[in-house]
Amino acid sequence: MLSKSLDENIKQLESLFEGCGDFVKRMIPIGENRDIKIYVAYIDMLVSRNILDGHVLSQLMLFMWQTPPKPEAIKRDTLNTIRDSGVTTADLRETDNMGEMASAILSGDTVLMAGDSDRALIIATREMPNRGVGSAETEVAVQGPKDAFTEIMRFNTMLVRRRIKDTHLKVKQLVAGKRSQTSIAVMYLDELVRPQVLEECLNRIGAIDIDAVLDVGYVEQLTADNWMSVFPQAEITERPDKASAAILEGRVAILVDNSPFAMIVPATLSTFFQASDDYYQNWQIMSFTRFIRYAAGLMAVCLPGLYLACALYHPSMIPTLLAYKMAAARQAVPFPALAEIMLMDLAFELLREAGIRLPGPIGNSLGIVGGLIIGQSAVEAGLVSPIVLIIVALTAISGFAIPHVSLVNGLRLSKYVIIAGSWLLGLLGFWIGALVLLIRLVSLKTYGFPYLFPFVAGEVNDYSDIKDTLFRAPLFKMKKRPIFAKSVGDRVHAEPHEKE
Amino acid sequence: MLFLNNKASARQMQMLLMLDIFGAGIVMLPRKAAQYAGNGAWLIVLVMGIAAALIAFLLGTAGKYYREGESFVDAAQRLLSKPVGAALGLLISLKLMFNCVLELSRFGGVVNEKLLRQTPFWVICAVMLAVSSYAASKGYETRARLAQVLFYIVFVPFIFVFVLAMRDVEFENLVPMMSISPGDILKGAAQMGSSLTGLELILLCQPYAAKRVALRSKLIHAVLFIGCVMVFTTIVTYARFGETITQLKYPVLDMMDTTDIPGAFIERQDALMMSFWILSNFAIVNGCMFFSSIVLKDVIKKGRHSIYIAASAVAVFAAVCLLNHEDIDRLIDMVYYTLGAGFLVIVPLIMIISGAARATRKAAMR
Repeated sequence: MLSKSLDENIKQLESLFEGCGDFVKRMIPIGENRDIKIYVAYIDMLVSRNILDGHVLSQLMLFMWQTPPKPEAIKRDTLNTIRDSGVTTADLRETDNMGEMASAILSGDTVLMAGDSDRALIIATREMPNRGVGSAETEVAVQGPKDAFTEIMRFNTMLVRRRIKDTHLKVKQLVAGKRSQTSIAVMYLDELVRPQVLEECLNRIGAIDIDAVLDVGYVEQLTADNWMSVFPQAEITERPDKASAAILEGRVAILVDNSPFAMIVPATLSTFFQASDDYYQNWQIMSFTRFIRYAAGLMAVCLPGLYLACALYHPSMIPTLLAYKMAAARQAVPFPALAEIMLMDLAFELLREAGIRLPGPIGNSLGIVGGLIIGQSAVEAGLVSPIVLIIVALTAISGFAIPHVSLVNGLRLSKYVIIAGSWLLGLLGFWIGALVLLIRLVSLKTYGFPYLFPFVAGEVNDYSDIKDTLFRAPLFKMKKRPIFAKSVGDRVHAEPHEKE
Repeated sequence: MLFLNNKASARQMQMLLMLDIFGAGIVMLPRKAAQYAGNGAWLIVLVMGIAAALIAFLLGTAGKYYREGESFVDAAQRLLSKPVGAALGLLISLKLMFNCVLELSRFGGVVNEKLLRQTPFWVICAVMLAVSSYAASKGYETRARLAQVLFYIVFVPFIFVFVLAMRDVEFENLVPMMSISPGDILKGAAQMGSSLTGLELILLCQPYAAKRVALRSKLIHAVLFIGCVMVFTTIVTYARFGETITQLKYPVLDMMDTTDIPGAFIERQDALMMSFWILSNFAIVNGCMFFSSIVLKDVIKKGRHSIYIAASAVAVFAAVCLLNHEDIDRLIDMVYYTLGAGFLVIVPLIMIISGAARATRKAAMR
């Protein structure tokens, strides 16, 4: 709590910021006799100089000197007088709490204390360095908006609000991280969001107890339903159009200050196969693309295991000519089939990791050169057979066909379960591995929704969610909102006119 | 809540039941039926299907006397006295464990013969038992959702291949159609009943229904669907192989192997069929493990479900290892004629009579 003594308050505030070289403070005398002191404090470079100089300091120094308020008025209630005549910005609030003051200063606001008032003004002056709204890098779309979220949370909420001009779009502001005091914005449409989902979401964020929340990934991990699962339980996107679409489906978007990504909950497996441009193009081609993506997902998990099962245990399943070719290619290879697969897989994982860490152009070159040269050399040296190279390459390419990296990562790890099963027990092991994964998937729930919805339990919403899974129905046919939303009417209000 | 924990929708229960029944005896049913009735095999399978639907009606009616939240053991204890209810619980749990042992042994034998000749029999059984127990430990809701995925993986390719197989069959093999007397048809149908191992699960699964309205008719539809699939399978298989079917150990697998799928490049289709069979066998073993352990828990009324699953799994595995595999078919029939018949007909009938008598008495008192 603040005291009535300005000196004491200053002493207390400065003791909190002791040793902080970027802490800026200034004492300004005002009034006819310049006998009333006001104290201004902020953190350098976190504030907007334009607002601070133009709307606060120049006002105080020039205007109040030129046309000073009556001495008795200023003596009676200094802070109110300053608020009414000395500051020309609308965004300000009062506080009597030292902790709140310190927190505001750290967030880029300016604190003003005056005379013998036991309250202080917090003036919104925050303006942090930013790189502006850039274009999406990890979720590139052929058609559709190019803008992407940025590190400034307020920019991100603006990018969503620009798309949903509805007063029902609510932004609930929370803070997490004991030391980082990171701002978190929870965005939703109050007419559509299910109250249980929203409540659960707010409770989970409220329960975060950690020193710092440095990225939305922290929130994702700390609010997940099942921390043991390798499958993502929240959708992470850098695209405002995608976040907006999710909000319009009754889902909740979570934005974290300093993170250029939004987290969307609830998320089910099918949502990870959806990309934003799926809805911007013709439904026939996008249905085809969807089907390809699901097939790619299956291949990313199953292909190496299936190859092992056939090559090691059931070669008679393979067409005779192909079996001969495979056997001939494998003749010179000194390693067993499992070692071959694992060797190439390891090489690919190394290339992937190195490609990410290296700067853009070098990373791309490394991918191409490394992939080509290592693959070709490994085959020529007789370390692996060409078929294994094809299998590993196909598996990797399949992973890239899925729009969400987090799902690809889950599939990358899952494939080893199937590889192990197939290596040990052939086709039986393959199916046992697949069953283990399936059991994990069907028993997983996110915010109460089955992870495999609508492939399982689809009847709850009359199977209407199926229209946006393996294929994408025409927009006007997807009338009913997805299961995530409260049922408050359809999302498509009329069908397009048909020409006679 | 939108999605109820440990409950299943009627659709999910239908799929679960179809998988449970289908997994049991389909690979051998056409041979067994043909051995008994020759070209009239499909007739006894048809009558067996109709009888199964009647039994499903009986089991579904018994389920109507369960109170909300009551399990089979609770209902039996209330309707037939506590000791009788507990004894019935123990018996059905034992019966399901027997089923598990026999199905696993049969499964291990077929996989050993068709897929993994070098792998020890007990390894095959242990792996299947472990994954089935794992699924059982996840609860009924997980089982129900699994069924919704497995149903399509099992039935769609199976029916697809059999429809294709119809191009190469000789339906003359099925004539003359009524070469077997009605009495023999009924007798044969009763004998083939052992292929419907999962049927008694209707008695146990009803408390897990999210909504019990019209549940009985939906379960009967499921049984009828499986009956139709079995009749269709028997007709096509017999029409393809004729009388030689009696010499084939697994005619359905041979059928898959010899069916020419246009454009397919897989050489051994029976291995593919084995894949579907692995999944349906998983369904029945998993069902038996789940219910045998949960019924045991309901009787003892102590401890966690997972402990009972682990204990049941150990017992089942020990029995699988000790069993003489030559006796499997005989044992399946023995269990079917004793405990099976009891739980399919006698127990539900007694429960219905007791439930109806109590309801009448209550109405009279009012």
